Amino acid sequence: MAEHTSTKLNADQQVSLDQFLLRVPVSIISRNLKNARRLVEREKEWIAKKLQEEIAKGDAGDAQQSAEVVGELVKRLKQLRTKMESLDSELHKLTRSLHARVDHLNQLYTIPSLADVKYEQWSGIRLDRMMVDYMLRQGYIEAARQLAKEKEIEELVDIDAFVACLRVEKALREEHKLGPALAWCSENKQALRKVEVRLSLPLGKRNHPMADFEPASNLEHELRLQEFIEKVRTQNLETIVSAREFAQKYLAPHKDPNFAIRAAGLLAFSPNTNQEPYKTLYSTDRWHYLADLFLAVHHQLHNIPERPLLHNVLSAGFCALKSPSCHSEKISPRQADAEQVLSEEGAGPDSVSDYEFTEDNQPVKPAHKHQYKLHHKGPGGAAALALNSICPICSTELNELARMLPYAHHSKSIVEPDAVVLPNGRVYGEARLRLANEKMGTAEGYVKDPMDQERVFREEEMKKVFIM
Amino acid sequence: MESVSQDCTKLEGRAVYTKVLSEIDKMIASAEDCKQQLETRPVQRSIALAKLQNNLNKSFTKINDDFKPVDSASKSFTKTLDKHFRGKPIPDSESDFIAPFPGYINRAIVMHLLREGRFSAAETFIAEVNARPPHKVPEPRFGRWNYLDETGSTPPPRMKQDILATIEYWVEIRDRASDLAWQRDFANDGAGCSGGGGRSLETATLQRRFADMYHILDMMRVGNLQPAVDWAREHADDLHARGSNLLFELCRLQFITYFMGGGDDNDGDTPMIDALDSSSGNPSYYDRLSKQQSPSVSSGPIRAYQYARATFGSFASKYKRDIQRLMGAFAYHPNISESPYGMLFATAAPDGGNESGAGAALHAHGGVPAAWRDAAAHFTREFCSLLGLSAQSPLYISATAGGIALPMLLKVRVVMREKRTEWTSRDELPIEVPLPPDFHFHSIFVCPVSKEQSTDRNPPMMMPCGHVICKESLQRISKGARFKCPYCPSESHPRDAMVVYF
Repeated sequence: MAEHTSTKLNADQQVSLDQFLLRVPVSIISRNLKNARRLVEREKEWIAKKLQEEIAKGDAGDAQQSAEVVGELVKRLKQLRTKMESLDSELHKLTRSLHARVDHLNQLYTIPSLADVKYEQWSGIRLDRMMVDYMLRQGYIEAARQLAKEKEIEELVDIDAFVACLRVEKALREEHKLGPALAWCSENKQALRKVEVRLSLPLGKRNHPMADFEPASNLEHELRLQEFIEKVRTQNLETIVSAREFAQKYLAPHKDPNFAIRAAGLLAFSPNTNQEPYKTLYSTDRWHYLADLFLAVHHQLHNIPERPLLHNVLSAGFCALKSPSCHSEKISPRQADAEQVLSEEGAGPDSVSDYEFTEDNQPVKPAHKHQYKLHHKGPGGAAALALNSICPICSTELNELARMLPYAHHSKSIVEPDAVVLPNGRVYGEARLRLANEKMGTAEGYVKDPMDQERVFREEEMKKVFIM
Repeated sequence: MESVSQDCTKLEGRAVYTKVLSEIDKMIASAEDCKQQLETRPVQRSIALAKLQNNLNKSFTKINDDFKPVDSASKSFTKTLDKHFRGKPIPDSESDFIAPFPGYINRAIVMHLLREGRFSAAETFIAEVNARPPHKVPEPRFGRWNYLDETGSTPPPRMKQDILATIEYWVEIRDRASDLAWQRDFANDGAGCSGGGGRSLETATLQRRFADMYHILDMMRVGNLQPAVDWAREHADDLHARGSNLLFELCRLQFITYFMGGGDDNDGDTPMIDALDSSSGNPSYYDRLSKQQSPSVSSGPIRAYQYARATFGSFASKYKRDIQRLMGAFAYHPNISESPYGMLFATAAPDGGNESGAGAALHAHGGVPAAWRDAAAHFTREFCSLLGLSAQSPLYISATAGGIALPMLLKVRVVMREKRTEWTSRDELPIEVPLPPDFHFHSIFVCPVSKEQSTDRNPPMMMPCGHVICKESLQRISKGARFKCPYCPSESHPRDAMVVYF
């Protein structure tokens, strides 16, 4: 079996989580290049055509007219230059950020161990950039910007990409506008043809009400369908007539012939119909669905992971740190006994001389009954012990968040080697316990349970425990 | 990573449009030339146009060539990345258990930011969360959980079943998680910055508390213990209940500081007329302290004595020995570092050699002496504990542990898929994740018989011989009658075993 604790730093493993940190800028770089090429190609065609027209006029051409055409040409070229300049500065920003990211990841390889202070710093930066990434995805742009700036990690996060993405998402989700999304589709037409097949919806496709209605998951078709729905929704005859033409143009080419046919069915139902699937199609929830679909396609296209790394890393971290006692209901004899006392109210006092194994109750010796008062588990839980720092999973910030997750697997006990048990059942390392009692000012020859200082035991009552 | 670095540098060098831009400049120039020619010499119209067409064509061809290195460098970088990360599993929605809890995540982030003293970022974040609450709780059935569809082919039924069983595990957690999220997250305000039930902390209150904490720490940094002492005094009962001796340690540090000739504040704990000038909270405190050491050499002990008389009375019963030792030091004041009390006062002077006394201590660690740093750490710990918070940011610890654990868990998932196995306990991770020792916060009891961790339902039981096994193992071995301990010759009855709490 593997070691139980380790300070060995496996940089390759940790860096592998961050491959998207490098992939995202590269994919934006290649998109930048595609845009540049398309821009130049468009101008080239336009210019060639204009120029050819002038030349074709031959001797019949008018020089003054030609000069005007060439003047226009100069204007276009100047516009091209401005656009190329902005693409160039974007490109520069991207390569610089890529460089910073490679440096950041490379730094991990120079750190000797997990116990090193430099690892603490590196991991801190990682947390910062994961938080910024999370904020960006949630649409909390200003907080993300501010944090990135304060921490000087702007080059390690994709603020620009998310800002552009959020604009489209917001238009769909909140403003119910298709324009930005359709524009985005046409901008990325070619690339979209490649990704749509691998698409996975953030909303479970299986449970989705529209699930069987969109087998190809084609974003643009879904957007056009929404456009159609909105036209039909008006119930205005003229609009509906135009909707028919619209459907012919945009919906009929869909590779699933049923797509257009079902859409056409909408024409027969009014927006307040209860008939499915038309009721769902008319539903405003469809906007959320479109927004989610857009996000999924967008992220896939730009190599952005579908979930924030923060989610994944925290999920794994919670599990690795969690122990059964982090959410234990019965954390101390006091509480167990108090429960016992409460549940046995009415029964004769001290009527049970032997404890029994019951399904749920702790076996409790009568000697300890009634002696401890009810003490609620504080926010720190079992670890709210003066001697330990509080476990992060027990800490208020995370306790609820980690509640449903599995706990860490251990194949061997981790207990202080000098473990002793007090008569109330609590186990401590002897040295630690003595130190605590010194701090509490316990009289010599006696010992108190730091978690329940009301009872004093004689030192002889402290018993050695053997943990195998 | 070396190949990645190299390719990155290459890409940085090649991914520029400088040449393209200068080519466009050339085109503009030749078009302007042509225009001028057309205006001045209209006769040569055809020639001018043909020349322009030729020039532009050349330039466009050139631009096309100039794009190529950008293209190839970015493609080769992608290839290098593919090669470097080949076979490395990617975190996805399957390994994301906490998506259904945006409210709790936001709260954890806010608390982390407050902890770090990033009050304004926290405020911006809260404002944005309130303006745009988490729009939805992601559905429990996550997008990609069904990777059977992804592979395209339907696996043989047996394999399918096993894989499904494995997936079910992750789904189950997710479902349980999201049930809870629906109930709790939305039962509270939609803003998502509040937590569950009575345990929630008002963010504003929390921020104020952390602001207090940073104020106290700042004052300690400039040599003023008073706010810390005040706080400890105010919370004396709570601290005592935790068995903390923070208050006494702070007072002792104050005493030692006075004794060594320091301390220039006018604090409530020393009701006396200050002989020294009382410019409190001066950042150059430590420098001044070491310089003024000789002139104030005799006033130090007097001040310490007055302080002790005013303060130590209330500690007498609990810390009698400590106080006696502190007072004994007066006898040795002139050369304290060589006295039997040297060690005691060395807490303020970690390398109290050449320059006997506080001066050396203060410069031992970047201007802040070790004892002060320890006191600050102790204070932070207690402060956070009383708020029910751990001293180090839980978010930081979890993220760091996650960085170590996640690659291992992802790998296990892949292996489990390949071997078509599932793990037996659904409450527990399938593998042990070795973390650095300071990432262990609880004692862990693993039953040596069943190899299972103890839980509420299956608590550890100690037999009279002192050996401990889990309740279930005990029941299985004993069958309710006298039995022999599996680890020693002693025999006992199960009723003699007692539950122990780690």
